[in-house]
Amino acid sequence: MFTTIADLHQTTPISSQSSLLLSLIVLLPILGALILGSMALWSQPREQGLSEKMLGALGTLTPALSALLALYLFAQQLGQPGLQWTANLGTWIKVSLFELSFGFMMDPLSGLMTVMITCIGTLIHLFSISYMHGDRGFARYFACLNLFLGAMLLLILSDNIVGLFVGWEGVGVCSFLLIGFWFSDAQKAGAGTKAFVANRVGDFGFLLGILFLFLETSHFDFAGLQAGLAETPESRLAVIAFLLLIGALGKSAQIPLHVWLPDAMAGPTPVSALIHAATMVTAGVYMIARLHFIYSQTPSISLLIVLIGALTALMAASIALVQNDIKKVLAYSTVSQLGYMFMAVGAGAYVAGIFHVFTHAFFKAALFLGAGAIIHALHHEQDLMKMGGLRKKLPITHLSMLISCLAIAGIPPFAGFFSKDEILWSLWNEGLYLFWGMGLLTAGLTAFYMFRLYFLAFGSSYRGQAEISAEPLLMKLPLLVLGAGAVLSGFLGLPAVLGLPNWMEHWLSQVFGAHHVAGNMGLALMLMGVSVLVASAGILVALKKYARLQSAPAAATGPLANMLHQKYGFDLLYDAVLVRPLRRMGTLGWQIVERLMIDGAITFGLWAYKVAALMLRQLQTGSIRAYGHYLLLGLTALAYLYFTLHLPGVFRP
Amino acid sequence: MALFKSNRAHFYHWLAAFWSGLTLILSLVLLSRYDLNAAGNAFQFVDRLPWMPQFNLQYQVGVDGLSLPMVLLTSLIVCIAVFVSWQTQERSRLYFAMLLIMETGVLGVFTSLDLFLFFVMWELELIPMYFLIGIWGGPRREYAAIKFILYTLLASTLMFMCFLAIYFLSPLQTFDVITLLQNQNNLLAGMGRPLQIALFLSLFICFAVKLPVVPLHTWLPDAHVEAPTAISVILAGVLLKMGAYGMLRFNLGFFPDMMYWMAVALAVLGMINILYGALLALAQTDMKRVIAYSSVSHMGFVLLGLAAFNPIGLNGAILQMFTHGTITALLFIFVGVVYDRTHTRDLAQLGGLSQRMPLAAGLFVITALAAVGAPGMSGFVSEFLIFTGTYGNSLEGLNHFLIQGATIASALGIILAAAYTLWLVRRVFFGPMAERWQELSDINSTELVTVTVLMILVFVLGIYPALLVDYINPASEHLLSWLPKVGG
Repeated sequence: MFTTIADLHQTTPISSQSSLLLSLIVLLPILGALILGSMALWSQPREQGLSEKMLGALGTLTPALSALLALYLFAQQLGQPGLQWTANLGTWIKVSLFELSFGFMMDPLSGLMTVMITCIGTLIHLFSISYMHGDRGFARYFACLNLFLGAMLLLILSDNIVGLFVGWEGVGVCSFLLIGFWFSDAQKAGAGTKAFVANRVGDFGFLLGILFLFLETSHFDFAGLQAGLAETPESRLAVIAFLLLIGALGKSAQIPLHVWLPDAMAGPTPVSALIHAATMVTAGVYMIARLHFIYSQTPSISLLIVLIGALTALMAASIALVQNDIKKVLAYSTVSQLGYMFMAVGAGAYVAGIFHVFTHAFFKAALFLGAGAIIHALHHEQDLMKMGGLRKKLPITHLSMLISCLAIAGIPPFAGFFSKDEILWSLWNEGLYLFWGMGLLTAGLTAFYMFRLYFLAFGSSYRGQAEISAEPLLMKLPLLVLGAGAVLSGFLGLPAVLGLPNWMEHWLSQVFGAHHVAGNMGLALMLMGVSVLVASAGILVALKKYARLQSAPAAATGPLANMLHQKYGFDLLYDAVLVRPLRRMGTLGWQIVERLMIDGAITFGLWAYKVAALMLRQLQTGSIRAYGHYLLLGLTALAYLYFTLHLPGVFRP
Repeated sequence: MALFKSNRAHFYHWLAAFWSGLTLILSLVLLSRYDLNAAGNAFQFVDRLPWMPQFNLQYQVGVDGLSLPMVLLTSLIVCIAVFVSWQTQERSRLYFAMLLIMETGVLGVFTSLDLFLFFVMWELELIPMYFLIGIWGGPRREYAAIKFILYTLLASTLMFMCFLAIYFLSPLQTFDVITLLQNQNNLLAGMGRPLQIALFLSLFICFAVKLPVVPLHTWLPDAHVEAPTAISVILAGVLLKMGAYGMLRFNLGFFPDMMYWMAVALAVLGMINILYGALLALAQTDMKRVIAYSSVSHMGFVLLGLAAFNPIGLNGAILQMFTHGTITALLFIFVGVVYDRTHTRDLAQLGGLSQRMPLAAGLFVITALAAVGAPGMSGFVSEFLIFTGTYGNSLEGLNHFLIQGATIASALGIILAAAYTLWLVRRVFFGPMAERWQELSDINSTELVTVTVLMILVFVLGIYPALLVDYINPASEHLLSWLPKVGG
């Protein structure tokens, strides 16, 4: 059936159609952010302003409108294969021959992402109205969230890499603002700074990558880049790919720049759901998929991506085993799932990677919002050890989270099964058996720690002290929709190797070209069986250990557990090797170079001047005879100068 | 101003505001009537009056695409500085008189088209600055003022000698900048190579002190720390630009081939400025020092952009001058806002102020993000242009790669900038608040107006940089057209 899709692709050339609605998708949330932002600044000193209902409605309205527009445009794309929406906003910077225009482009890839982001974004805005109820920074929160959505859409929809970079930096800024949202807590404010700086390290590489690209092709727009790089030798492409990869590692929290994401959980939980799970952190994967024409030409870098992805997936999953903070577990699971996506795009299975981005967005958003609902109900209690038995108290949350846990664990027919298995299957197909094994192991760990979380929170009986309040309607609704997504979104990409229709593959082949998956159906079924078995084993172990827990278990000890608690020591290492030496260098520079050397030299100069003055003073003897000598000496010198040089007339008119 | 005397408390404030406002309006009029279609080399609105005809001296002023943004920046920043010093009561008559004399000096520097006049204006700006720091400054004000004046005076002696040498030794025998620039080819005819190099270097050092280039920068942190807020605003916002302006106008204008020859050195100096300034900013404990060193770091970008020797980098450099002027002015205004209320700039004592000053905190975060170079604000555009320009610099062979290397190293500066700026925000406004700051009041409406004006400018230029770049571009193209190999 794949040959037919490929034929279809070849017979429907891409047709561009301009639409101003496209730019509205991006501009609407930014507009909302502007309005809300000025309201936030205006009403802050007065502690008044619009009511929460109005602000919430306004804040949710713009993403909702964007979502409607996105769906409208996407529906037309569905009806007309090969259709690509564009919107040109004219020149942004023009300097001599250098011209940078600003425009948007919605092709099948960015269309899919846009629909996903706007829809999930709208749901999370809705959820936030309840979650942030009564917070002093209500308007500020929605302003930042709207701004984030605008920047994210800019990142996705921009038709050139500079626009992507602007969005890329923009989401970083919003992430900083939202992580440090409750800034009166020094630790939370610190987490925001850490996230921004770690992202900046990535941006450093990304910026250099853009500069290399521009020098190589004189283009910024993707079409121009693709055409311009056709002749570039692989060695140079590899450098570009590597530099851009640094950016992706920062944004998508992969080793060695993953340290910021777990700390980012300091932000409000809906923020974690939207930014640090469903959308922003997948930007790195999106960027690699968007620039697939570079990465498919650089096998060495692609292998590096697989390696980094596999290591990250395994490392994060192992750390998640010992976390007791419900959000930290989810944060590490996000890092781990992002590792899967990296493995996929590294192995050239761009469709599988984007498919996992898509399904992950649903079930991880549901998990985070579920965690948010729990935290809300328990009055800001995040410790898993103080939960338990919440199944009856929070039925909707329980349902949604159970589905999502099954989805992330990879149990059919929930969404995560299809996308994760597609990735594992691609790894196997590429002959990357070792990485397949790591992926499988990670899947087992994932199933275990997710159900550890599930049983600790919902199983057994309640262990905490705080009173449990009920879940409000505005929380139930998004949870249900996302839960449904965690079931249904997987069916968009049924395994083609079994002869089932894979819509995702079909749809994205317009961008990536047809990807022939030749394979043995029996082998595929067997591998699937293995992965389901491993996942079930993980769930069973968790069931046995945690389902009937009455009191909080003692924390695990021993060298391995210690290492896990220390998160493999990345934070300590960075602090010792980077942060403190840099500080010390600054202090040294100030105290030694500045004070001692530069100012010292000047003080020395002044001192030498004074000494010289003292010595010269000795000449002033008062003796007329000595002065006569000086006079004679001076006259001789002047006369000599006059006769030899014939001083030019200074005051010649 | 000395002619008026009044007992009303704010009389001089209003008078100064009126006068600087009038200047601002006039420069806006200038902007609106500036002919964008004229050739890039043409100075517009040239006024010419004989001054001392016996000595061939004249009063001649005019603007081109290089000086026009600077004129606009100066009049804007000074006008804002007047409002920033609204609380100044002590000897306010003298204070505002000095402020306006300084404005004259700075505007004179940016517009004068006569070497002698340029020198006079350059010196004219120093004297009020000395008094402004020396009288209204902090506890170590005299040390700072003397350090400032010594550095700058020594440097400007070099400049004066260089100008005299150009007058006497070049075949043109004139101070007239327009004539000199038009006959740029035989400007140096008849001078030996060593003399040319000496002249070039003495000019360069003079401007390097002002810019300031590491290691000639140590006057800057001291001057900033001791100067009153408004003076810091002007110092960082405008005075530093005089150094960069001088380099562009005279070093590049008179000695393009030598400047080209120095490209790698420029890039390396820029890199050192960026990284060294950023590192030192990380180590400071005084709010003003952090920003002073960040100024050193940001002005390094101007040097780096110069080293590109292509229009992209040069435009970026000139835009960066403007951008840095507005953003650093904002940062210093906020330091003033905090200092006025807490009477300390020690980071160890501050913290959590956002609880009492939420509006100031919100605006300061926006400013900090602008300083970090977040997109949508002007810093992003100028830094991006500079990086693009220098990375694709128009040099050849080894030098090309050396400058690329300097660019890559300088790009590390964006990480450090994020670190020290956000660390500053965190130490001042975030975290728990000490009990003694319970009574602080938020930003007042005068301060709010000044901040808003600058902030709007930062955003507008970040979203639509063409507003200014259209003026700058012809001038920078023209500046580069003199280069031996790059001819436009």
